[in-house]
Amino acid sequence: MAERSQPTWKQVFDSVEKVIGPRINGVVRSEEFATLVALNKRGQVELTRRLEQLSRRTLHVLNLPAGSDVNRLLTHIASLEREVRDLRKEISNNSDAEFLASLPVPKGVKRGNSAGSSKRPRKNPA
Amino acid sequence: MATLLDPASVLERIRRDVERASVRTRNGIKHLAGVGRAEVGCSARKAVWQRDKAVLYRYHSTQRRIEPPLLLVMSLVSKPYVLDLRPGNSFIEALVARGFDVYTLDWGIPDAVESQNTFETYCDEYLPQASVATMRESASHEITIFGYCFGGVLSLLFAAGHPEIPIRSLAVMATPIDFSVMSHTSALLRDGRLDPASLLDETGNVPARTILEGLKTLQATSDFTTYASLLSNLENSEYIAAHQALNGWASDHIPFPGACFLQTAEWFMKQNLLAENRVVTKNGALDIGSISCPVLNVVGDADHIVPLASNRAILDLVPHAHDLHFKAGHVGLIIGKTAQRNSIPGMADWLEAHSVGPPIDE
Repeated sequence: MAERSQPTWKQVFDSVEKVIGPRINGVVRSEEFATLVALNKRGQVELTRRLEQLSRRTLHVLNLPAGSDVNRLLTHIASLEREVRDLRKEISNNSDAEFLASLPVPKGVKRGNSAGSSKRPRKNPA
Repeated sequence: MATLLDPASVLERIRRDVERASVRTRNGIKHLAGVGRAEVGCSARKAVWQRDKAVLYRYHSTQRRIEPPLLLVMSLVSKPYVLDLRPGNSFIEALVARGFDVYTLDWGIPDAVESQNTFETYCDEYLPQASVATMRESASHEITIFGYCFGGVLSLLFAAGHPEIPIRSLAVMATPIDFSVMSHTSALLRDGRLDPASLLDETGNVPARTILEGLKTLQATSDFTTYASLLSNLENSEYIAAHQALNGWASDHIPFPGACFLQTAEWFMKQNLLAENRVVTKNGALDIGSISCPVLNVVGDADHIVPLASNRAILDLVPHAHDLHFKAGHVGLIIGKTAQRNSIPGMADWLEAHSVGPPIDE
């Protein structure tokens, strides 16, 4: 079955895009655009920081918690959860090491790393 | 001489046009309202292991015949359902049908707790643990690792740092190695014009919208062309479903864990340590060249996210890597007709040739 031809508007769009598309992409990938993005990001960060400072002061005058207070609490909770995770990991690591030690090593099979040792053969960082 | 119009054929044409217009309108309204969205990630699976937010899934199969199990490792910034997008257009479905014992590692959606996750967390904790869990679940003595995009970077660092894990073979697909030829965002971070810490939000992660904005600048007109194609195919329900599934995924990013992002910016974007094989983690120096198992490198010639030039350095790092090129983009390697016809069978052939073993019972 023959494919349905594209509607006229789509054909026009495609031909325009074919001409304009690479130019727009060229602009977006240019050094100047990259600098603009960097400046915009810096401006955004500075503006957010000032607004956050202002709202925090206002809320604290009214003895109300600000977003930054909530974020600080969130960070504390996250850090506690990470500690719990670390404890849990110690238990599971022992069991994994036992499993790996029990595996047979077939002759002539090349494994993930040529060191071929169950110990970590890494070089020490300089 | 003027041709007389047959009233019946005119009426038939009008009827067809009205019918088409009504289907287009109905589909357009459904699309805008988000009604009847295409289902994604439909292959049957079960969670077999979980550590923190990372969950390991095993895909159901009655035809597993290839050993060892295959663990798919996803990037840290996108959701893994792209590997199992839609029935008939799914990388995982194709691998399962081929007889592989397929697992995926879903990193979950990071929040403030994961903001301190580093490469060491992923490559020295989650990946070794998930690999052991995979081997245990499949009662296998070995494992095959397959990393997609940034998941390929994680897989390489993991394989280089963990000789105790019996990796039968390692495949990486659309994986960046040389970050000096990546997008202008990389250049901004490299030159210090953009402070990587300024990209973190209050949770300590790079928000998903920032990642999406960064990716959109790689192809500024892609939104226009995508929507123009959608508009011209509005009467085609199958096209709309495919569009919703793929575009839904492409804009469905997850936050990049902050500490790992800062490492990426410093190690890879500023110092290009991966391409120069000089990565040193908390646990010591890694030598990617020490990976001696068979390695497959898969690239798409038309990949605009990970340009071909960025990937080529892997051939210097791992000279014995087998290189597979396809005429495809970043996602086109696993999604679409070309993928079903060329790249997926090509990858599956290599993986099967580098696997062994008798049939595996369910």
